Amino acid sequence: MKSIASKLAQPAGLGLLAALILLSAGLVRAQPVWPFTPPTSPMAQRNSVNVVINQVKWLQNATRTSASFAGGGYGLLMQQFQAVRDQYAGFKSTLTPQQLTVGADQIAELDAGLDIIQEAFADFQTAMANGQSSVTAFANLRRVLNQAIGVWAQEFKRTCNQLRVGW
Amino acid sequence: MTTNSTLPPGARRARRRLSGLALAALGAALIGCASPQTARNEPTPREDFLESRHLVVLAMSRVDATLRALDEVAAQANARPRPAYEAFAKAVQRIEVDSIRVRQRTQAMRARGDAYFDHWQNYFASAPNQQVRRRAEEHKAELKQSFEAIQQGAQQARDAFRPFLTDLQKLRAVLESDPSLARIDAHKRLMLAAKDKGRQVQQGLDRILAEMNTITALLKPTGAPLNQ
Repeated sequence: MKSIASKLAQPAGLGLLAALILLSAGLVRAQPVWPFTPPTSPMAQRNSVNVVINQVKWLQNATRTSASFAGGGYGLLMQQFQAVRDQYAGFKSTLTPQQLTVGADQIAELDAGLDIIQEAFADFQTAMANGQSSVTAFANLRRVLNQAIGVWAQEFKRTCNQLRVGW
Repeated sequence: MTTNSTLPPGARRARRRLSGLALAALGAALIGCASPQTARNEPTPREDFLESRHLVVLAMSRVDATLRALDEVAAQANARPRPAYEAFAKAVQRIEVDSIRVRQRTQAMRARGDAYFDHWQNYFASAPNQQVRRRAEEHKAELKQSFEAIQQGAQQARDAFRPFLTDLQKLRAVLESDPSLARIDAHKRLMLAAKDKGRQVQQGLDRILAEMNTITALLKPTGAPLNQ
């Protein structure tokens, strides 16, 4: 008797298990897929600030050491600048909603600042197309990038201070 | 709204000096906005208004200097063109960098729209000086008008700046190898176009400055000494 009952219960149990699996799968699928967000804590904020500042230093170093356009210097500068943009995007994702609200103007300005600085790359290409020597055009690019990212970094640090980032 | 560009240079200087003194009085009344009351880890609003005015004045002087350097290239074309060219190239590089802060501000004004000036309004509304707070409330409508005019001036300056810089960079490139009279003459049109665009930038900046001076006059506490 017991064995018949257990034999009958087995398919019912399996069916229940399958239903639970399907249901949980459905539930999992129904949940929205959130993009990865780094934790927002003073420590995470301080880290992200340092990462941006270090990346700016790397870019400034590259502007001093990448002596020639022909030697792949342009690609290196472009790569380092893109890295600043990426690290800055990471930094923004660590800000609290309050910091984002109070500092909305400053954040918009920092965003615009990077867009403006990026124009230096297009200016370099245009200068060469207009007949400027690659040596001079590349020297201009390096100088402008070095100084401009320095100005931007100062604004970045000031904004972090005002918004109490990492406090 | 008055435009500085229509005034003679002497009157412009005197006007700037007077508005500078009025601004100093307003600045003294605004300093410390909201900072004593805020908790240690709460964001503090920055002194947007005073800073923005400073940036506009700086940008105006850079545009002036660049246009003067461009004039000098034309003036020295049949005398000593190379030093004039070198000075011009330096001026272009300087304006490329020094204009970044004002350009990023005008771009942010466009991106944020009215919300950008809400921060200014809050800044005035939280001034430690009661008179400034009261005047900001009384003149809310005029302030809004001034903010709109600043937005328009910023748009004019922003729209003209990029083409102006492109012309300057092109001139720097084409004259680099040979800044001779013949070459300068061949690019006379480009020089005139650059100067025209530079004047448009100046007009936009002038407009912003004039409106900022209007705001300063509106909010300045009565009886405050001008040289405070």
